[in-house]
Parts: sequence; structure tokens; C-alpha cells
Amino acid sequence: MTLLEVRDLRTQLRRRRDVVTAVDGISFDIAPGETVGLVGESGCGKTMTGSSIMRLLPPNGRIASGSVRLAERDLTGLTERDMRQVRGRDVAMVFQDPMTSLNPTMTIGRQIIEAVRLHRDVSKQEARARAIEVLGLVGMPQPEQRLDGHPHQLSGGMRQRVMIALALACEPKLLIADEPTTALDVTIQAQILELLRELRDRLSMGVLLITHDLGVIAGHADRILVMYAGRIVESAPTRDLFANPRHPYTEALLGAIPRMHTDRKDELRAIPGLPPDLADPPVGCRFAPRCTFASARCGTEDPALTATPRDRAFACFHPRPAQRPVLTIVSREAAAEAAAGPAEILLEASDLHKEYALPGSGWGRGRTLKAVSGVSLTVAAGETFALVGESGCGKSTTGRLLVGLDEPTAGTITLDGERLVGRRRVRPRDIQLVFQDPSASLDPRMKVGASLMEPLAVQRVGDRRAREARIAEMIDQVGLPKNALERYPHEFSGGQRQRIGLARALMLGPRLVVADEPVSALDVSVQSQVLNLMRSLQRSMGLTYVVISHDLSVVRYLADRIGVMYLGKLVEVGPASRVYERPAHPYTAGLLEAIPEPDPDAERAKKAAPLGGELPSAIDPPSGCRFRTRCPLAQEICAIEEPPLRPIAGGQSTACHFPLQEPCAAEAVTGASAG
Amino acid sequence: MIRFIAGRLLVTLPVLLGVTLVAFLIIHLIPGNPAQAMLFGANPTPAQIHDLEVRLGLDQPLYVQYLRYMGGLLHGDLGTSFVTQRPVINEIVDRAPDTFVLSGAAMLVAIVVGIPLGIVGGARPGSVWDRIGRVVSVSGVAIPYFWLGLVFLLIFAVRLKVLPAIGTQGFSSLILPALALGWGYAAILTRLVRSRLIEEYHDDYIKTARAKGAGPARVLLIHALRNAIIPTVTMLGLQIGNILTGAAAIEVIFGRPGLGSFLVNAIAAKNIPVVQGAVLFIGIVYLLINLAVDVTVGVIDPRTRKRVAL
Amino acid sequence: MTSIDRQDAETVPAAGPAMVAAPAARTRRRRGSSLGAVFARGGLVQGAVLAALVLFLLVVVVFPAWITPGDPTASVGGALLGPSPTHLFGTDSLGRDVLTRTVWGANPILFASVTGILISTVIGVSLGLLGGMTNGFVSGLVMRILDVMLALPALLIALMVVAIVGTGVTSIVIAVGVAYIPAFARVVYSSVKRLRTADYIAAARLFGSSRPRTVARHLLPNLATEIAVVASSAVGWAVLTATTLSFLGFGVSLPAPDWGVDLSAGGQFLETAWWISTFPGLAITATILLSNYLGDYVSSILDPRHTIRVRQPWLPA
Repeated sequence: MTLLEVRDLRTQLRRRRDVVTAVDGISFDIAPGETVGLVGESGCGKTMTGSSIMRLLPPNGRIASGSVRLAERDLTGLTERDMRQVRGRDVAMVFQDPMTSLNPTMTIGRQIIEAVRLHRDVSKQEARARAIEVLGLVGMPQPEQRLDGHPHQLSGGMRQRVMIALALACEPKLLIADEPTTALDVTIQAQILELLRELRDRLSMGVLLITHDLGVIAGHADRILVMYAGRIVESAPTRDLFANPRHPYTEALLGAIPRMHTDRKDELRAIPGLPPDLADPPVGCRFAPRCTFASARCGTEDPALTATPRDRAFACFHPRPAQRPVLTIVSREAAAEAAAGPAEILLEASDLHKEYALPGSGWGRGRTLKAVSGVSLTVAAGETFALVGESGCGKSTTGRLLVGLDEPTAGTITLDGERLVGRRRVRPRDIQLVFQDPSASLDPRMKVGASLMEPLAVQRVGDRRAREARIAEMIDQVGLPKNALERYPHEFSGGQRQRIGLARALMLGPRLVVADEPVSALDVSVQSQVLNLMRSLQRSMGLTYVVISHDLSVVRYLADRIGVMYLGKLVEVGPASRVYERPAHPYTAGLLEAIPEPDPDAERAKKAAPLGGELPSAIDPPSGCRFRTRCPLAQEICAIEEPPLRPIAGGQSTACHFPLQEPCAAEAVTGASAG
Repeated sequence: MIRFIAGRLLVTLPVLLGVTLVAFLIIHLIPGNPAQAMLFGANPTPAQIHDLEVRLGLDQPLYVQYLRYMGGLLHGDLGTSFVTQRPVINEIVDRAPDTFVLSGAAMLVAIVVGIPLGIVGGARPGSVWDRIGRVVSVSGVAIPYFWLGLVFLLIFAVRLKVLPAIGTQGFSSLILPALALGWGYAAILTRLVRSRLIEEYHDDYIKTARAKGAGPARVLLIHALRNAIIPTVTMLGLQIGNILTGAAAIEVIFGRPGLGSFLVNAIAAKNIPVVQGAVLFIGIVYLLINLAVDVTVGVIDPRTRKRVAL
Repeated sequence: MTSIDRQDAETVPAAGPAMVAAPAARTRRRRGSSLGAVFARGGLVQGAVLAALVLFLLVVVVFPAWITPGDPTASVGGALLGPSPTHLFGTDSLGRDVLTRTVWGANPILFASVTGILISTVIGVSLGLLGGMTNGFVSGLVMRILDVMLALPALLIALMVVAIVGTGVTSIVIAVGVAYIPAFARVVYSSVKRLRTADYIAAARLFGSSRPRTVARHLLPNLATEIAVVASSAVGWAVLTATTLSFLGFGVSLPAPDWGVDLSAGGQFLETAWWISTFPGLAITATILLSNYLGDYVSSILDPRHTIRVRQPWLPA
């Protein structure tokens, strides 16, 4: 039996000068109780597919042809009035950003009650009771009190629970979840995904899980549809798809994600180029211009899906052979193993604190936000040190302190043994920063060439010719054409802009580069290009990196050593390989467990969301060990005494009363030893 | 909520003090000797000037004068009008109600015309009503309101003779001045409501509401409008000061003895205590109204409450 | 009153958590940056028409005799004559040609509005920069001054200035100039606050750019657009304030021509001679319309993605 049957769906968006066919003839089914994953990069049409099913297209959009049958009823033929009856009752939707998808001026209760009363002829009291029931169902603590609260009083994770409660208010048959966890932290993501799976089983709903994250989909979808440029290019049961992708795009996409177990010596598989403009798609196979296996035929003829949508199917003339290892290694660079023995220490930070005064209330009682509370770390020359943690843990603030953008409230930073204080905090020729958002970090009114010239001009490096030569060299190093210099930042794609950002950071030949979430704003295929570039630049220029990231897979790919932060403190430091294999702090273990991996077997083997609860407030952190409120091992002492960072075997250190690995020495150290 | 209001009051107080300082300083900013400026046209003898200086305390240091001025304020003493020799406060209290009525009526015109036009324009951009709204908003911003007042007079009082031209007798005498004064604000409101609604419609929570199965009317009235109206309320509050002051020209045209025409006459006659009093009075009324607006917005939008009083 | 806080809160973009965002510029076509292409953004025909109108207005202001050679203060015949081929706009109560007076009457109004806006731009921008770039005492002082100025309606400030400096075109210039200072200062202040924390400013600090250099190379060029957009639309508001003041009798002294004064004078002859007030009124309306379109045009050239929001909570009555 099928619940949803989409056939040859084609959705178009009218623009000023042209028409974009965002969804171009796709077909698929969803059975009750089944989760179908729809995966693809931004702009591939996956969100439009969800909106088309709901018939919630933007004003310039329309379903041009095809059918959407829900329980044998064609939704495309319904009147708008009938369709309204379907929305919320038969099909419900959860959106990406829980911060904006709830009405900010309405109480949570009213929003859920509205959903109930739109479809059920019940009294206000009954609807209220139902609202409490569904809030309980999604794991909202004290649902009755929450009912009268407003969305802004809740955290992102809790808001997403409210969104799900709202969607489930009338027990729909089909739930469309569009990037439901993209805006959330990894431990919260695990909780929400787990909740969705549990609710699906309990209510035997069909779920369409739309995401760009192959890791999310590996653990939670039964079948997967891969979308590229408005088309479904491959369809397969989850396990088959990951074990044996047939379409070159799927294969490339899988190769592009750094994995927890990827050999660090391997380069990531990068997909060159960008997806086509859907207003004017290329003739023939749409992936052909970026495909390594494309033949002449691919450029003229459009490959159709090989089978009916329920089966294993792909749209390619040159499918990858069945039964083959997943990863094709493009190049194997002999990445020099971190030189054995004690390397020279480049940067040392000890006992860094950063507090921000919160605006007072007018009653004089000022409060402070303790963003960083006592972080000590050392970075050896030539290594990559990574700071990881959830948002709000203080990792970005630490990065700003290291580069000198902010002054620490207490603590010292030394570079090559020289203390960085006052005006000397900023060391343009030694330390530079790569920003997260490349479109914000480049002056929009300056041509790229001028932006690259600025550092040289400010530091009075060489004469005009020498500077121009340096710019030409750098722009070439980061893989951009010469004519890029004459253009403005907005004329580039996100990945290209990040290359420009890298070029500018490297202009003065710094020794240390701090990279704050360097790839988190980029699509997977572009992300791998930038990560590869960062690694090759490190090799060719002998750079030292401090990488700040929430993405442990990215960190795994880049880092030699890792520091895990929680609520302003380092809870674990050590060589990357050891921390990943033998985490000593319960938080590290939970964090690692929570990362969705693009490996269905590994995902399914995991236990339910490893870390419950949410990050406490940094204004008023828990006493003793800050992690104790979420720690499965917490005991009385954890609330009383704060555990110091202590060394354990293999160069690791951890701050825990009950570490998962045996401590090697009893004495406590304040600084982490160099790896 | 009470803390929020208290916090709001607390930030208003220093501004209030600032306004009194501005009103106080008017007399001292006039080039030359303030006493001479006040006696302009009278060709005063030095003795007369000195006499006035002593009487007004202008021979004292500035801060002493300010303290005395503030002391007077606390007792409701705004000085004495040079023209009528009556206390300024009495003159203001006599005239204020008429200006309040006119401003209130103008505000009503703005709301009744502007908000509905903004709503239909924002909900259905490009529709006939949206075009009508655009005509209102363009005309209201471009046509000077005092000319509009004259045109209304010409059409309705002089030619059609359906409404009285001048005077303050009864409701009918209020219609033309209120329309002339309110039209420009109707235009601003139309624009604002329209653009805010269009913005709100792009917000995610509207998608959520539609995904629940809410119909267009519900999406508009229950969801979008509520959020779009918040900046509108704030803006209305900020415009009240301009309406109060703008009433001056309308009062002159329609022969209404309000605060505005009082102020204009005082400026022309260099009747400085009256100017000071009127500036202070309008400033205080404006501050209080905005305080009320902030509290109202705090009620509608719970997010704003947190921002001020943590 | 904390109108400034309110403004800030609205312009601060919601800080979202790190997420995978679509690179928006992916398919955006490369746009040329030549002057022609810049103007093409606002529409070439529109630009040409606007330029012609502005040029015409400029001639009217600077060389009114080129258009109407007569003396605006001289009687040319009978009083209160209706529009006719010899006197297109009719004559006023003293037998002066209304067309000639309307053309010559542009000068005081436009001079006062444009000069006034220039004054308020310069002072307002300086105050905004001072408040936005400094911390502590100076910033606090600037902000308190602005708070108080914002607590007074623009027209009231203008009237106050007239009460202090007296009547005449110069005092209208000063009145308009002072009345709009807080508006510019606020726009600049909140933009500076926003731009100060921009990543590209941080990047400039990191490669050692001094504060003056950062302001000159990064802050001002990015502010310039906003200032230009606000200033070009503010001229229209200034015209309204200036005519209001002269309508109330605080402008030129008789018998010099002036739109506001003539409009007011014509008000006494509504029954017998509608044309006396109508043509100056139309002239004011046309000028405000022109400056509004000019403002829109400037903003569509300089800010094609409409990132700058010009709020006008202080549009004068």
C-alpha cells in the first residue's frame, strides 16, 4: 500500500525574465510508517518538492504538471478550500528554522490550539487538553505551564519540539520535515531525530525527510532519493545507496564528506564546478559538465531513471559498477605525519577568561556572561589544533582572543614566548583569521584586488609591483582566475568567496591562521574543495592552523590535536586520533556519539540520543563540573568540586572526576601538553 | 510588566530633564541681551532693561536661573505672557483641548484611511485597492497639508458650501481641518502597513500557519496583521509630535484658537515665555504619549519587554 | 525617550546559529561596474527624465530670468485677473504675474531646503560617527543630546530656531538644518554600530589598519550609500518644512516672491482668485514628488538589493 504517490511532478517558478523549473518531472512513493529521505545540495529543488506536495508554493510558483496522490486522492486537482482541509490534518510540515517558524507574538498554546480547532470540531478546553497532550508527546517538560509562554522564551531545540507538536496536533498521515535539524546543535539534533523516529513508529506516519546532510539521512531514512538540478538522479534503500552508489553524483557526494573514519592522508573527493542554472538547464544529463565519466552521449541525450521509483534506480548512461568500495581516492598526498617528538611551541594561551557585562536593567544589578572561563592551550608550529563544541560553548570567543580582536578579561597569550598585550595583541604578520561567513568578511564596496592589496598597503610591504606580484601569486594559489581581481565580492559564489578570504588572510604570510567555522556556510561539494585547499596551503606554506568548528567530521579531517569545549571550559584535549577513538570525557563521548554519520549500519547501531538536556546558561553556570547537569555519570562530588584538567595516557588530558580512560598521573596540570 | 513600565519611566526621566533644559535655554540662545530681545520694538531705555533683568532674575548665574526655572515648573509656573500678562500655563490650558481634539481627529483620519488601505495593499499587491492606496500615499506625502487645507476650503466651504470654513463650533467644523492634517499621515500609514505586511508574508511563521490549514483571511488577520501592526503603533506614536506641531498651520488657516496658532503668534511677537511654555508642553505631551505607546507595544509584543528591563 | 534603542533593535539582524546556508550569489550574473551599467540599474530613460527635470529646476532656481524675464514684484496690469494667454497663471491682488512669481519663488524654498539638508547631513553624520565610534563618556553624551532632540518633533525644533534667530531665509536654512540633525545622526549612529562589528572591519583590524584608515577605507564608503539615499529623500521633507515656515510668515520679507508666502497670501482670495494659491501649491507638490522619485532612483542605483531601509518616523507635518 502506498500513502503518497508523486508522479512526474513538475514545478515552475516565474522570475522577471525567465522561468525556473525547480522540480522537473520527479516520481516517488512513500508507504505508511516509512521514512523517505530526499537529499541534495541547496538549489536542487528538494524544498520545492515538499512545498509542492503541500501546495504551499511562493506566489510566483505553480505546479506545471504531474500528480500528487495522497491515499488515492489527487491533491493537485483539489480546490484551495479542500486543500486547506488536507494541510495540517492529512499532511503536516516541520521547517528548518525553529527560531522564525513560530508566530512570535502568539502564545505557544494558542498556536497549537489553532491547529487543532482548524480541523476538529472541539471546544477550547478540549483543544487545550490536546495541546498539552501533544506537547507531552514531544517531550516538552511541564507542558501545561509552557502553553502560556511565548516562543522567544524557549531554546531552539524546544521550539523545534513545539513545531513538531504543532504538526502532530491532528495526527497527520504524512509528515514533511524540511531540514528539521539543520539549525540545531549536534546533541539536540540527535534528540530531535530520535523523537521523529519514535513518533513515526507510534503514529505509523509516512515521513519525507528533506536534508542536505547525508549523515542525518543514513540513520533515519528507510529509502533515499538523491536530487540534482530538479531531478531525482538515484533512488535506493538506504543501505544499498551508501554501500554501492550507482550514479556518479551520489558517489561524488559521498566521497566529498569527511567521515569519522576517513584516512586523514586521503584528499576529499571534490566535485568541480557548480550546479547548472535551472532557468536554462544544459541539454542532456545535467550532471555531465561536472562528471568525470561523462561521454559525448551525456551531452546530447537525457538519461532516464532505469526503473520504477520504488526500486533501485538511477539516471545515468555510465553507472558506477555494482559491488565496489565506496570511496575512490582521487589523490593520495603523503601528508607528513606530525613530526614525532616535541615540536616547537608557537602559541600558548594560559588561563584565558572573557566576560561580557550584560546591559543592566536600570536597577544597577549588572550581570556578566562568562563566555570563556579559564582556557589553557598550546599550539605547536605546523600542527592543526581544533576547538570543538556546541554553539555557546565559547569556542569562537576563544578564537577572537587568540587573534587579538578581543582582549581577555584575564590570562595571557604568548607567541614564540612573547606576550601579546595591549596594542601588540594584533600581530598582522603572524596571526590571521579566516571568518565563517565569507560574504560578510569582504568589504562589499571593494574590488577583490583592492581587498587583497589592503594588508600589503597597510603593512607597507614592497613596492607596487612587488605587491601586485604577490596578489597574483596568492589568487593563483587559492585557485581563482586572474580576472577575479577586477570583480566585486558579490559576483562570486560562497566557495569562491571563502577562497578570497583565505587569500587575504595569507597575504602577509602569517604563521598562524585561526579559521572560525571556515566551511559551515558552504554546500558539501564546495566544502570539500575548500578543505582540500586549506590542507594543501598548510603543506606548501608551512602554516599552523587553529580550526574552530562545531562539525566533528570536518575537524577529524583537518586536526592533529583537538580541544573540546563545554560552557567556556576545555573539558578534553589530546591528539585527534586518540580523542576520537578513546574519548575520556563523557561529554566528548556523547558528542561523538551524536554526530550523524553517513553510514547506515553505524547509525542504526547507536543507542538513543546520547546526550539529554541542553546547554545551561553561561550567565549562571552550574557549580562544580559544568557538565554535570547533562552527565550520565554525575555524582555528588561533581556538584561540589570542579575537576581540573588532568593528563591521562597517550597525551590526552581531561577535566572529569570519572574519566572514561584511566588517568596516568595523579597530579593536576593547568596547561595541556603539546602533542 | 510593572518592572517594564518602571524601567521605561526611568529612561524617560533624563530626557524630560533635557527637554526642560532646552526650553529654558531658548531665552539665552537669542543673540544679544535676552531682556532687550524681549522688549523689542519698545525701544527700551537701559533702566527698563535692567529692571526687567532683575525682575526675571536674568542677572543671576545660569545654573541659579535654571534651578529657579525648574522650581517654578514644579509649581506649574511657566512664566507670564508679555502680551496678555496672564500666566503662560493658563493660556496653554485654555488652548490645549482644541489642539488635542484636532490632533486626535487627524490621527483618526490617518488610522481610518491609512490602515485599511495598507492592509488591502499589503495583502493584495497590485490590486485596484492597492492602486488607490498608492494614490493616497503619493498625494499625501507630496501635497503640503496647508495647501490641502486651502483646497478643501475652496471646494467644500466656498464652492459647495457644505461645511463651515472657520470656527470651532460643532463636529462639522472639525471635518476639513482634520482631513487636511490627517491626510499626510494616512499616506505614511498606508505605506508602512503595506510594506510591513508584505514583509511579514515572507516570514516563516506565515508558512507554518498556512501549513496548519489556515485560510487567507485567518493568516492575514490572526497572524500577519498582529505582527505588522507593532511597528505601526510605534510609528504613530512618533508622529503624534509632528501632528501636534503641524496643527499650527491648520489652526491658522481655519481660524482655530489652538496651541499651534498660539505658538506661531508668540514667535512672531517674540513672546518668549509663551514659546518656552509651548515647547515644553508639547515636548512633555509627546514624551508621555510615546511612553504609553511603548507600554502598548510591550503588551502586544512580549519580546520587547525583555529588552528594556531584564 | 529611547527612540534610538528602538531603531537599533529593529535594524539588528536576527543572529542565527551557524547553519548551512544557500550561497545566494550562485547564479547571479556578473554585473558590469561601468558608469553606464550603474545608471542602467535605475532605468536609463527614468534617469534621463529625472536629470532633465533636475536641470530645469536648477535653472529655475539660479536663473529665473531665463524663463520669466519680468520683475516678480512689479505690477503688470489689472489685479486678480484669471489665467489667460498673456498671464498664463493669472495675476494676484496687486496685479503681479503669478507665473513670474511662481518661478522666482522657487529660489528661497529650494535654497533653504538643500542648504539646510547639507548642514544637517554634515553635523548629523559627524554626531552619528562620534556616537558610534566612541565608547563611554563621549558616546553617552552624544546619545543623550540626540535623545532629547528626538523627543522634540522636527517642526517644533524648526519653530524654536525661528523664535531664537528671527525670521528670514537664513533662519529657515538654520531651522531646517537643525531640525534634521537628529534624523541623520540616528541613521548614521545605528549604521556605524552595525558596521563596526562587521567582519570586514575586524579583518582590517587584523592586518593592522589604523582606526582612521579603517574609517576612511571601509566605514565611510559603506556609509556613503546610506547617507546619499537618506539625504536625497530628505530634501523632499525639507521642502515641506521650509514652505511650512514661510507659509506661517517666517520666511522672506514682502514683496519678495516665495511659494509659501504666496500660497498663504492667495488663501485670502480663495473665493475670487483660486489661481494665486494653486500654482505655488502645485509647484511645491511637483518639487516634493521630484525629490521623492530622485530619492527612489538614487537608492535603486546605489542600493539595488534594498538593504537600506529609510524609515521616516520624523517626517515633518
